[in-house]
Amino acid sequence: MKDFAPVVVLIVLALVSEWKGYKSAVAANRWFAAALYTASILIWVWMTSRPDLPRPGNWIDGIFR
Amino acid sequence: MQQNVSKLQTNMIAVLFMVSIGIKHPPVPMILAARQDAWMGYIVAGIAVLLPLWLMDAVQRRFPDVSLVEAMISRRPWVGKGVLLLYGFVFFFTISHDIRFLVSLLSVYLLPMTPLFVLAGTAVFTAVLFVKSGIVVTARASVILGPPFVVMVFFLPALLTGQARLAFLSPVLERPLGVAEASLYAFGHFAELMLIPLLFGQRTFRLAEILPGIAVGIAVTTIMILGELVLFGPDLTTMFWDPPYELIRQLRVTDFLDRLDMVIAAAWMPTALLKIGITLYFLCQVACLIVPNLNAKLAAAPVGILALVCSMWFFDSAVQLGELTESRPILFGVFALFVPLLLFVVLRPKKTKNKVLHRK
Amino acid sequence: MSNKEAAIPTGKLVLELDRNVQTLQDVFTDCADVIFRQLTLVNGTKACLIYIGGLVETKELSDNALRPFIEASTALGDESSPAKLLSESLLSVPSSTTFTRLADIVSELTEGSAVLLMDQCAEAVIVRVKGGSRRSVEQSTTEVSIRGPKEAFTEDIQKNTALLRFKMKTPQLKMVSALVGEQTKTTVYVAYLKDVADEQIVQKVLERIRAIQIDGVLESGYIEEFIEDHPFSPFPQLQYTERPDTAAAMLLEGRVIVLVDGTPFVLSGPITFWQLMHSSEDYYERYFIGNLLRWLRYSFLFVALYLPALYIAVTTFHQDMLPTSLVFSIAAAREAIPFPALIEALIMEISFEALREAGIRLPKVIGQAVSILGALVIGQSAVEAGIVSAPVVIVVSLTGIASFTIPRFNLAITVRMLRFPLMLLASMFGVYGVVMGTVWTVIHLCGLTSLGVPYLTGVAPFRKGDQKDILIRAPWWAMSRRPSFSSRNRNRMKNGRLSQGGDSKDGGKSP
Repeated sequence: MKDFAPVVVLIVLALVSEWKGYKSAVAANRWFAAALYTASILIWVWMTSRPDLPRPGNWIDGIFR
Repeated sequence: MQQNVSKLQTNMIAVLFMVSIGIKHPPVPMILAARQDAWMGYIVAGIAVLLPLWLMDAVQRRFPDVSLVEAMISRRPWVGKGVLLLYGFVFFFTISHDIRFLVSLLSVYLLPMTPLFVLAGTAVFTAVLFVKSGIVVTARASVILGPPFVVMVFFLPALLTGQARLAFLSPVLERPLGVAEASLYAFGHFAELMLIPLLFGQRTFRLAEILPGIAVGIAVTTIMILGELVLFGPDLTTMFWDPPYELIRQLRVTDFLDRLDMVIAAAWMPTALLKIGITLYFLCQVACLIVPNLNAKLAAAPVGILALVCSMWFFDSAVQLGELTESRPILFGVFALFVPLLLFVVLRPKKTKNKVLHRK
Repeated sequence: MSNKEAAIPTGKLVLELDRNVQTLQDVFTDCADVIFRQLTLVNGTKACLIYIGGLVETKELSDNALRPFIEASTALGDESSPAKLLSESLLSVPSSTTFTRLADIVSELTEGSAVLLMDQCAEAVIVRVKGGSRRSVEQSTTEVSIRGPKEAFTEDIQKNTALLRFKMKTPQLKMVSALVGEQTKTTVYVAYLKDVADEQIVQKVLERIRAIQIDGVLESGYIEEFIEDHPFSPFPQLQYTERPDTAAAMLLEGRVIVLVDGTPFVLSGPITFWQLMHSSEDYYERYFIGNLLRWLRYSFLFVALYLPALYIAVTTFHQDMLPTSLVFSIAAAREAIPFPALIEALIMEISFEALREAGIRLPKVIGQAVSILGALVIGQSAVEAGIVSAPVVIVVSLTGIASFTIPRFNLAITVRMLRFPLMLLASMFGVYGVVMGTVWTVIHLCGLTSLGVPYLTGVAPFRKGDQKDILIRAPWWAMSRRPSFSSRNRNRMKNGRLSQGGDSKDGGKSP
């Protein structure tokens, strides 16, 4: 998972198939989708760039076990 | 025009939520805690989960004409939205966990060469399809795709009697405290049933309606763990990452049909996909209730992709997924008890006016 | 007058016969089969009989229309409305009327009526003597059964309605007519049993049929595509049948039948998926046999859909699923084959489909031999040439035979089509791919409706009463209620009671 191509491909596919829906819907939908897609890309880039990434699974493990 | 979801479909969804992931992770810590008495853990947990559901039922009875979600939003908007947000976080964690688990299982047992991302993409695509078709279609699909697995599990005892060693189950009730601990681990998964009262936006919740489903869920999970105990014994079972899969690999009908596990695994996969789909549907509903003017069907793809990415991020490895079962009772248990109590105390119909909001 | 104006005449008849005849001759310019028979009556009145040769029953026309007309000519002399008198009192044909508008007269002519025009009379007498030779009632070629009625519908809609009326001798059988197609003016009847069928569904069908605007309708398939709920779904949402007994059974269950002139295939709806797996033989044989046949068909539906995909999945990804000896023999067979399992299976499947399609058009004598044996012989040659392996030939043949057990051709074609995406998914993702394909198909089916009725009614949404006729077939004495989507009148019989064996219960009385 060295590069962020997979997630971009997936997002592009999603955008292409939902294009008509986004065009005709209220603006809130576009903002929401844009926010979530951006968050996804950022998380993915961050994930692939750092080998010793802080992960919520580890946090939970650390706190409760 | 919202068609109603029938009682049978609601029960089937309850069974799905208890069974699809609930048979996989809990057995290992349960058996570590209670050893040969671990099979009682599911029964105790199933009875215990009735308490928060009963509390939600009691809250619903105060609002006989509207669904719980509508009651929460209209009566106490801030509390309602806060509770929904909390639900959103908890079930976002759930969906990420489920996606990662399904994908890891497929990768380990069936498709080792396929990238995890591709498998997760297909699972999320299926979940998005469920959301875009709507809850009515998803509920119908659950009646078609759920029962094959449940029926196969009920046939397991007959198929495995030859290899069973009931001596593994004795002495019975050697560790009552261990049983209590085991039931906590099971409760961590059964607590996902808290989704059901809020799932159907236009339907009132009645606990009595889903009792058969809960009973079937308890039966299925108990049969699985009993099978693991009598076939492998307490010591060996705790070595497995996925005890049910090892259990069904022991199925041998004749020399020819000695690999029936693929059939049962193939029947199990749709239950996991359905669970992911229904959770995604719920998350989209929550998003629509919190963000104004949002369309649930358009929100499905963004939420799904975020869940996919987070499923890769949240968890270090597939093994950690199983280890998290030990932390679940605290997370989910608190959530499952806190929310109904809060609603029970806070959410009451308006006393000054006689009419509660009717929106049919 | 341009050609277009002549084709759709407006206006009415005038008093002069010659002008009327000229107008009609202009309308039917270059139509050599339109016959204008000039008459002069005893009292000097001129008349003209116009009809399209081949469309009318000439004997009836001459015996019951022309002869009375000629013989009654003296009585017409002083009548102010001779046409009406003729039509109502003097002609002995079963159906007759009068029209003044040219458009109506042309329409009646093309329908097969004869038109009688008289001088100094602005009304035409329409003599309905529709005849012409059409195919007679024969055995059904597409829906063959061992037990049960053998007659089939024909292209003549009147014969078809008669065949239905032979079975349903009740005035509750309603037939609402509609005319579809601007050039073909095809008669369409919507038949239903009043008080059994859901009125809303009947109205929905009628509305959709009346809204069709098309040049011509030659087959009920045209109408099917216009009135179905989901035009982009591969699954059929209306059933078609060639047999009156099947159509009558549909009517008795509360469904709507659409009869189209010019085709023996009638449409029926709403349908469910389960019904497409039922054949009339299930109901005519005893319920043991009916159930066995039904289960056989369901298992072979599974085989037809999944066998190639499972073969590809197992040989590519999950070889450990097979017993060791089978793995060795398959591996040995596939050793020399240059293609992966998917390509092998696709080659054979596509060849089989091509052979099947070609077999329809071959002469009957060699057609049957070519279809199945041809596939096997060609398959054997392909195996020996090293293009495909023997197991694939077996798989494809079994799949082909299995797909022929599906009673309805439209569902069989859909299942054959669905095989290919499943094979692709299996080659990419193994058993998980097959599962995913199944899940996507189930999602699609659960969202499908047929005239508003969910496609999987009975199982999803679950209807307890329908369980007697989905996966099993309960005995006739136990099926006391109609399917759940028929309207109010669900009771088929007074009480479902087992037939009493009488004295024969304990082996009879004779020693």
